[in-house]
Amino acid sequence: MSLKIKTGSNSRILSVGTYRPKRQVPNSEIVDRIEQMGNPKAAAFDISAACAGFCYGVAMAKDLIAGGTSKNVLVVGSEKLSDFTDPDDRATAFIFADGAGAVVIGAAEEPGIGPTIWGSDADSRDSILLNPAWTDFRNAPTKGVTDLGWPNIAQQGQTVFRWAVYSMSKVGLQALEAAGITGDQLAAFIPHQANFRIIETMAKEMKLPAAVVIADDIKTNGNTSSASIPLAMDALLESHPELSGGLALIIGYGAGLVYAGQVVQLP
Amino acid sequence: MALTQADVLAGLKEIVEEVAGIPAASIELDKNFSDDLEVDSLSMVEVVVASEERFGVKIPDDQVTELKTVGDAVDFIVKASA
Repeated sequence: MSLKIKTGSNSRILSVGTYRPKRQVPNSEIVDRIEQMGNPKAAAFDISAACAGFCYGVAMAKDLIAGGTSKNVLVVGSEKLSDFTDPDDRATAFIFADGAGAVVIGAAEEPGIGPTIWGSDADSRDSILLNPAWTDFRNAPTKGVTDLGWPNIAQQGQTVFRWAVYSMSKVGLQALEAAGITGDQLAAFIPHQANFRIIETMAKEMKLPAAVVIADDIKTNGNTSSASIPLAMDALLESHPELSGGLALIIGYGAGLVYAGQVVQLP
Repeated sequence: MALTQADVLAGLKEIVEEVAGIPAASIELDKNFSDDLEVDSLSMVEVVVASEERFGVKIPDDQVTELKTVGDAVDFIVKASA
């Protein structure tokens, strides 16, 4: 797939992806693709905020444009989780998937992105992580993957479920309040597609009205980390084109633990 | 005020019925959440959070896996409320 950016050198590309197999530096694999995308001089950098990355990217894009730094920003969520998933781990193997999704954010007469509610929770830092760390290989030079294992995603399911449902539903409500709306003004709820149990329990906790369409792309594309919200948004707009122009609550959350959410007007 | 075992069992029955759809009549102290009542690990988190709210206690994540039976949960909540 190729994407063309029609703007000049003051456009930006935010590459939102945490689970990258290739190398840590240069930090943006999307730089490899920039020429194909029609603007080889655009600023480009990675955001490493795991499954919250897309909403972090939306927040930064909005502020880059509002601050006059950029005219348009391409926010790309791209992940290759299969390189970091243990196929024998029953807790993760059936959930995680590879995927990519993107949006272009530009200036508009009326604001289409509400204030971002974001933060982190370092107390639960170990509840989602890659083990072993890269430095473990350096520190044990006579050992390799055979001895140490490959850094696959390890997740404490119950801890993450509890945090995601009961803390993130509060974040969602804060994002609605910050945008000056209530749940009955939402057209759609598009949270990170972590797990459908989390999604439906979050919606229940937030007491979202039945008329709010809830994205369920987890059933089709799985959990693609930072790519899951743009993929779910695209799927939702394809199945429900009448939602275009309506308001959606998006909320990303994941390893860190980190989170971000905002109300957006759907394209 | 400390809760009694009967108070907690009655409340827990309502919670498990609400969360997991299991008839309250089949929820007894010796029932194993997973093996007997088929409450899965994520539903168990919902039961725990609802119990915290209802009984005013804190059940840490590392304790949840120790609550194998309804009796384990009742005992933990009664002690935590004391």
